[in-house]
Amino acid sequence: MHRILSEYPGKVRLVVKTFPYKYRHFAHIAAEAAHSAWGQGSGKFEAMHNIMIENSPRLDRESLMAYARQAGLDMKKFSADLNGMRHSKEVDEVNKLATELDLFNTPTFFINGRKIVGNAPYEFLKKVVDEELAKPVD
Amino acid sequence: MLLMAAHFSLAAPARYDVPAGDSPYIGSRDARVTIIEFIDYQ
Repeated sequence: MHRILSEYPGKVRLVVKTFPYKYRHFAHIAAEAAHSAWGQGSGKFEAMHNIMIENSPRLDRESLMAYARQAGLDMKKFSADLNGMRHSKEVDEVNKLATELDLFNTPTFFINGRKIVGNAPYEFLKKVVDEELAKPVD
Repeated sequence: MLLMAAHFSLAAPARYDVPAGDSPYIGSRDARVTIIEFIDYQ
C-alpha cells in the first residue's frame, strides 16, 4: 500500500479503519495508539502507522512507546491517551461498522467501494486503482 | 505440482458504500480514489 500511495501522489487516499481481532493480545492497544497518533496530526499518524506495520507483531505497550518516540509524538499526550483508553470509542465504532459489513478478515480493502479481501499483490491493487482513475469524472 | 492458493479474493462487481467518517487517512482528502483498509496491526 505504501508503494501505491507513493506512486499516485494526490490521486489516492488511504483511510485506515483499525479493526483489532479480539483474541490478539496487543491488537486493541495498537489500534488505540494509531488513533492517538492521528490526534497529533496526519504526519505523526502516517509515521506511527508505518512503524507499527514494520514491527508487527511486536506491539506490546513498551514497544508502542518506543515507536511513538521514533514517530516524534508528544509522549505525555500519547501515554495519557493509552492509560485512559481515550480512543476506545473510535475503535468500537469501527468494530460496529465491520460487523455491519460482515467482515471477518484483515486486511479488507474497499477501493472506491470495490471490496478486496486479503493481502492482494501490488499488481492487482494497481490494476484496480488504474481502472478507477480511468473512469470519467462525474 | 504444488498449487498455491490465492490469499485474496477478487473484487465483486458490487460497490459498497463504506463511510470514511473521521478515520485517520494518508494522502489527499479529495483524492479521486479512496482506499479504505480495515487493518489489524497485529
